[in-house]
Amino acid sequence: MENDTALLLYHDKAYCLGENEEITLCDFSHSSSLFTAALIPTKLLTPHAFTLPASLDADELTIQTEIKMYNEANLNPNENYLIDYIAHKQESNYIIEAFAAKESDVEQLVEPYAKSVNAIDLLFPRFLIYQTLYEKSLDNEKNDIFLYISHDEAYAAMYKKGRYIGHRLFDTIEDISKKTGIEAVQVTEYLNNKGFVRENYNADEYHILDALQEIFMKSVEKLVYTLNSKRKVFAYSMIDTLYIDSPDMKLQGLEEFFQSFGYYDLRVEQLPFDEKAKKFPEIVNVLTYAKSVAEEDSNCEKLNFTTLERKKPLLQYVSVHYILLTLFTLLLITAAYIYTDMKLNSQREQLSAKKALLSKKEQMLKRLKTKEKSLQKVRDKLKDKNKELQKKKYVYATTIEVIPKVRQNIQKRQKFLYEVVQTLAKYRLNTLYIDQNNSKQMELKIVTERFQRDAISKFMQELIKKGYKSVETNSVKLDENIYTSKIRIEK
Amino acid sequence: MRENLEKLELFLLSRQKNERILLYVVIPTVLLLFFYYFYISGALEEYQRNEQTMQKLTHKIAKINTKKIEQKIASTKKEILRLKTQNSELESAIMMLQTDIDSNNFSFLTQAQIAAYLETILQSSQKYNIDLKSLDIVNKNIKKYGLLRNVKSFNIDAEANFLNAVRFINSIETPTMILELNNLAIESNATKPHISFEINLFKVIDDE
Repeated sequence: MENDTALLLYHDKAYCLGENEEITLCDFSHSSSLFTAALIPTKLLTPHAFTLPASLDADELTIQTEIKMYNEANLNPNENYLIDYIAHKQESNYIIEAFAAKESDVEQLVEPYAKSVNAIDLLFPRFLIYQTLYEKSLDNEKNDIFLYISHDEAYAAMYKKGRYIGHRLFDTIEDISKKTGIEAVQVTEYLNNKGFVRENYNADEYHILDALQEIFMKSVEKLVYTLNSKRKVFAYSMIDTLYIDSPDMKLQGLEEFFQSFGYYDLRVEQLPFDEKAKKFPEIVNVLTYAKSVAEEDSNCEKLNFTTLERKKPLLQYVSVHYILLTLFTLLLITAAYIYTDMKLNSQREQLSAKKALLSKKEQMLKRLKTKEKSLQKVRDKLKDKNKELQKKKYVYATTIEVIPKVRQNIQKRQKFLYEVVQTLAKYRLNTLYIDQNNSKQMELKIVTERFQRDAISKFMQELIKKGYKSVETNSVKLDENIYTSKIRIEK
Repeated sequence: MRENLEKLELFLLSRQKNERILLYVVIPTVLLLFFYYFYISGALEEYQRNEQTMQKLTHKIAKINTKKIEQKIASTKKEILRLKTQNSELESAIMMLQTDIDSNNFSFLTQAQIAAYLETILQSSQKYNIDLKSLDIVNKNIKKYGLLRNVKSFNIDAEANFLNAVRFINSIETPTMILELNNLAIESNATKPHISFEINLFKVIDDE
C-alpha cells in the first residue's frame, strides 16, 4: 500500500496501482490515503459543444458553460446536474466540450461505494484515459480514434495530437445482444474471432454477420459524421489510426466500414498493452490516467462529476487557521489572566496581611499607651503620696526635733532670766520692769542711784562677757537723782 | 457543520489575500486589545494602587515603634517600684516617728492633763505666795513647729516679790508637757512687782 499511487473503484472492487505500475486488488480503506477514482458511464453524460469568447476567465467560463448547458443542451430544469467541460483555446475563443450528468444518476452510481470510501476524488468518463498513452508510446502528432466496446460501455473517442476532441457512443455488447438476439458471450466471440470478414463465417452464420455489420455501420456512420463536423472545428486533415481498446476484441475488417466513407488510409490496430497489465487489461490505462491526474503538475485534461468529494483536512481550512489563531490567542490571554490574577491575589493577600499587621500594631500601641497612661497615673499618685509622705516625715521629724528644743527653750529662758537677775543683783541694780518675750529676747528698764550710774554699763559688759549676742541701750536718763536706762538683750 | 465551514471557507477565500493576511494580525490584536481594555488595564491600576497602599502601610508599620513605649513602661514600672519601696520606707519611718511621738504622750492633751496643770499652777502660786490676780484659759489653734499646734493658753496676772515670782514661773514650766512661756513681764513700780505671762500648751496634731 505504501507504494500505491492511485485507487480505482471498478465493478464493486478496489484496484490499486503501484509505483511499478502493477495493479492489485486492495481494500476500500486504502481510499482514505490514495487518490481515488471511479468511472462514470459515457451514456450518463449529456454532451454539448459550443464556443465562448477567449476573454472570459475561469469562473466566467464555468458560469457561461452552465448557462449554455441549461439553455442549449435540453437539460431538465427540474433536475440538478453536475456540469464540467474541456476548453480548447483557439485564436479568439474557446471551443467548449461540455458534459452534464444528472446528480441523481451520479449519486446512484456512487452509492455502493459511499459506505466503503470517504471520497471519490475523480469520477470521470473513460474516453479521457488515452491522453497518458501519448506521453508513453503513441505519437502525439497523430490524430487517432480509440474504440472501446464492452458489455456496458462502448464509444469511439477522437484525439487530435494527443488531446481529446470528441467521442461517439457505440452499441455495447449488451445492446448488440439485444438487437441481434445473440447471447452477449457469443457476440464477443464473433467480434473477437470472426469480426466482419465474410470468409470467417459459415453460410448459416451470415445473418449474424449481416446483423453485426448493420449495427456497426450505423455506429461508424455516426462517428464519421462527428469526425467530419469536428474536422471543421479542430481543423485536422486526416485520422491516422483507430485503436481497439480491448484485448479480446479484434474486430477484423472494421477498416472496411471507414473505407466506405472515404477513410482509405485509416489503420486499425489493437491498443498495445503492457505486460504488467495482463492481469487487469481493462483498467490499466484508467488507473494510469487517474494517477496522472493525481499528480500535482499534471496537465491532463479531466472531467470530474464526483459528488463524494474528498474533504479537505481541517487544518488546511483558512477558517480553521483563524480559529486556531483565536484559540491560541485566547490561551495566551487565559495564561496571562491566570498569571495576573495570581499576582493580584498574592498582592491582595500581602496587603491584607500588612493591614492585619498594622491593625495589630496599632492595637498593641493603643494598649501600650493605655497601659503607660495607667502606669503614669499610678506613678503620679505614688509620687504625690511620696511627696506627702516625705512632707509628713519631715513634719514628724521636725516635730520630734522641735519638742526637745521647746523643752530646752524653757531651760534657756529660765537660765536667761536667772543670769540677768544674777547680774542685776551683782551690780545692785533695780528694775522697773522686765519683759522677756521668749528665750532669746529680753527688755528691761534699770534704775540706779546717781553715784552708782556706772553699774548700768558694767551690767551690760558682764552680759556681753557671758556671750549674749546683743546688749544695747538707747538712753540713760536722770530723773529725780535716779538714773534709768532701757536695755535690750538678745541671746 | 462542515457545510458551514465550507461556506465560511468560500467566503474567506473570496477575499483578497492581503485581507486574509490582515485578518491574521487583526484577530489576535483585537482579542488582546479587548483583554487589555477589559481586564489588564484595570488589573494594572489595581496593582499600582495596591503597591502604593502597600508602601503606605509599610511606612505606617515602620513608624509604629512599640519599643520606645515599652521602654517607657518598663522605666515607669521601675519608678513605681522604687516609689512604692520609698513610700513603704517612708511610711515605716513615719510610723516609727509616730510611735516615738506617741510614746512620749505628746499627741495627747486631755482635759485631765489640763486640769492637772491648772492644779499645778494654783498650788505653786499658793506655795510661792503669789497673789494671783487673774488666770485666763484661752482655746487656740495655731500651728507652731512641725505637728505642734498651740491649742490652749494660760494668761496669768499676778503680784509677788521678784524671787517668788521667778520660782513660781520656773515651777509651772513642767517638763511633762510641751509648753512655752511667752511675754513675761515683771513690773516693779508698786510695792509688789506685777507679773504677767502667757503659757502656751502644745499638742501634736497630724491633720496633714
